[in-house]
Amino acid sequence: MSLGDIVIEARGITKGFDHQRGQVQRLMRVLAGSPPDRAFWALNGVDLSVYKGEAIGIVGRNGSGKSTLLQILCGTLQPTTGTVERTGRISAMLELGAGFNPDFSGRENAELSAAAHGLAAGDIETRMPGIEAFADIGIYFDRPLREYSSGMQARLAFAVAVHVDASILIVDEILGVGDSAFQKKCQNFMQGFLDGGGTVIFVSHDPGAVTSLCRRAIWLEEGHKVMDGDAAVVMKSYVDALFGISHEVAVDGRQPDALEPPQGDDVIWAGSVRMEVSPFMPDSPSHGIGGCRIEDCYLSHEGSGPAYLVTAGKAVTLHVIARAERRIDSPIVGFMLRESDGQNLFGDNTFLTYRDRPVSVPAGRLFEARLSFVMPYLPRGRYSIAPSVIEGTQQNHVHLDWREEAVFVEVTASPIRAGKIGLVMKSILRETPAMGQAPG
Amino acid sequence: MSSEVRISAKGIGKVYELHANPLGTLGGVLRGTHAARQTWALRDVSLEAHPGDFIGILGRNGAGKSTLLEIIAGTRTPSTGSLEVGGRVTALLELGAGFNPDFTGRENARLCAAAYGLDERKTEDRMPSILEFAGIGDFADRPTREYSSGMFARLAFAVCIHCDADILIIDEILGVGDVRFRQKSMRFLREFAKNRIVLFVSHNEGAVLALCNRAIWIDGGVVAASGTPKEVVHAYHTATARSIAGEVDFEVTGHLTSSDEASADEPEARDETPWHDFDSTPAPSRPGLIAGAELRHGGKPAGVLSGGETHTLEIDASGPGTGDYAAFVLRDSLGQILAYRDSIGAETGEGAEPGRPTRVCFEFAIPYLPSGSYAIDIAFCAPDQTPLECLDRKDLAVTFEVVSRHISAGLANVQLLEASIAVMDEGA
Repeated sequence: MSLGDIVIEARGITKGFDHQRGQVQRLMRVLAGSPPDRAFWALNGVDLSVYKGEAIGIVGRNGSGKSTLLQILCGTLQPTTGTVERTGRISAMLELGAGFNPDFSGRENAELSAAAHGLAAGDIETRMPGIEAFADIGIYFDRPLREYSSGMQARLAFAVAVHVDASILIVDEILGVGDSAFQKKCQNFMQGFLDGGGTVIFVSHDPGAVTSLCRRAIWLEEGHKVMDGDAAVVMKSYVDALFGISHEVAVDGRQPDALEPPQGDDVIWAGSVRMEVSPFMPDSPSHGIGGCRIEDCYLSHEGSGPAYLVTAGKAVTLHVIARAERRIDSPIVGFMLRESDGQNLFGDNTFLTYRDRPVSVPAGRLFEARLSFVMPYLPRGRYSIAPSVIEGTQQNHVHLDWREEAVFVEVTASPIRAGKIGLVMKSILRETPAMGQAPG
Repeated sequence: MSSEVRISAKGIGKVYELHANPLGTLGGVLRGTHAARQTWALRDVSLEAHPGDFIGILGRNGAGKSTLLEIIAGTRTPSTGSLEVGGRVTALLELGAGFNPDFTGRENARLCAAAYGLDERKTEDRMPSILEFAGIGDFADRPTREYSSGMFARLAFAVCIHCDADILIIDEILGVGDVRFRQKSMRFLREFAKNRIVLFVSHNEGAVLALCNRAIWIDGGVVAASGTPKEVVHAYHTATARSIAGEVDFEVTGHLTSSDEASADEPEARDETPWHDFDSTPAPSRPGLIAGAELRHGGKPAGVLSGGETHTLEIDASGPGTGDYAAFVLRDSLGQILAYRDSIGAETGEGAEPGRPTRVCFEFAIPYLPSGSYAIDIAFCAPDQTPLECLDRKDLAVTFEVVSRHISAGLANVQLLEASIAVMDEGA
């Protein structure tokens, strides 16, 4: 990504909203020539240069001015002061169902919306099959919008937005209402759009979603830009601020949260949870497009040979060994430990470690991934480990080989009497509080 | 309950007639002819449900889930198939759909309860409880057009669960409301499903796994899979991966082990030591014993957490016996118990005598929880009693929000200490 052309240049943007006074009073002020009485500044002097081809994440609490800024950037709201210059066609998805008519069908709404984006009638017609296919809502495309669920509305809105030849896509968190397949499709689209030189501005509450899509992030607070820069750095500061942690900015990208050393032994339970680990099940259920085959998966202590008995509270390493049947660029190896009823307890992958220095595995070679963590205390029961090799990024990837129940972990003895995991106690103390300390 | 509570749907189909324009529809009606295009929103869907079923219905947007539920709720008629429903059905498909914006919350609640078939007397008797559950305070007597969408949803849900339903149909409402409302709703649903029926539409696979005993997946109007939530979610997950891969040489092999063979362990068999079951509703023998509770971090009350930080849960009791112990559970936003801990075996500080104010401090690192809202319930219990004597209990004593720093797919994630990928030496 080269920082070349600026596609949106916003200078000194402010946006004030009036006191909620009556119309008459407002009219009187206008007649009297007195300046409007701005009670609330949603934005207070924001500068922003958006470069062609970049993805910018905008974060901030509710009421920080994110949505106001987006509306001003795409021109649906005028700033009180300041200027915005834009080059290129902007396609924005700001509010669910905005601009749609509930009595018209999906097709009719798509036509109107595409026309509003400046597409010619002929173009709209040729693209309608593409819009219909992307929305993928079956027969509902020809049913009135009022029969749509919120997820179907989001599908339609996104399908239109991506077919209007925009060079800038502005997305305000509406993707959350779609199902997971659609969310992935949208993320794939946005990645492809970026790869093709498009520009994306993306508002989210989810720090994970921002760091995985965007390299640059902007943090707004009370109408001011607090930070603007590397997404990982900005997100760490933002999250820390949410937690009231005063921070010294030092980010290595991988673990921005080394607040505490990982939990170790429990004050009461230490050594009491024993787990029996099965050997790798070569015939375990699998799915994927192939190109790679997981050949072994085991746990070890400190990276040594397979351990078939492990103890909670101690560091273990999960080894996943796979053979590349073709050359694999940017493999991501991950795992999930699931309960017997199928719920996911925990898991992680190698994506963040290799995001900036992807490894490549030549065809025909074996490769090994190691993921180390402290084994949590678990209740009695049977758990399974699902290892996986995927190719791409966390957001945009295909499954090469994904295995369920490749390794079983049986907890045979445990002091945990309810729940899913053990909370690791550093201390449990019973005392008589000093006078005046008991809460009222 | 006069008749047996059940749902028996066999071969349900729903056909829509699509016309190029409204005039075409009218023309069709006048001529008594069929439409040029007929499409099936649902085809040959069968579903049996009995008391104790909490059925999750998965499927992508537009798959036909809502149509099916509307048919079961009786607001749409099926084109084919037979449907028998025993018991009173209450459907929360469009939250507050029947509300009149100019009427107050109380008036809307009254109308809505009448529509669900509750008589006037019962409605008035239950009104305080409805309004309390909704937690809308003074807004009860304000017109609902002044309500936020959250208040709207809370009131609609509150009315719905006070109408003696035998079958509840819920369409993805879990996102509404604050921590307390969510926790109360989830507890209600779990309790309800013990001897009645809940049908629950979601695209949240985790919620279906956590809440439901059965699941069906509807795709393109037909049942693509049905069975245990684990089996159905696995099928759904695999199909999602397939659709993303574009179906090129996508291979699926093998089957999951059945849940029965894995769930041989009874929870009772876990341990001999006494513990307090927070999913029970005991009658506390010393109400008021618990004076308060707080989750603190670095000397301050905790509000928003990210996971990994060390916190202290302080539970204050006014005058417990020396052997009495404090217990707590951590619940996730679906109300399921993530962790339980008690003070049996705790270190005793100075001055801990019977009858004196006592504080029990649990110091622990918060797990790497996914973003969401969490609640802690606390209890004080007497030791060595069978069944355990609950002295006092305080549900939702502490609530907090988690904003996770990672994309986390598990209930309680671990921190990676190290991760590496290496090409191995050939010949190994």
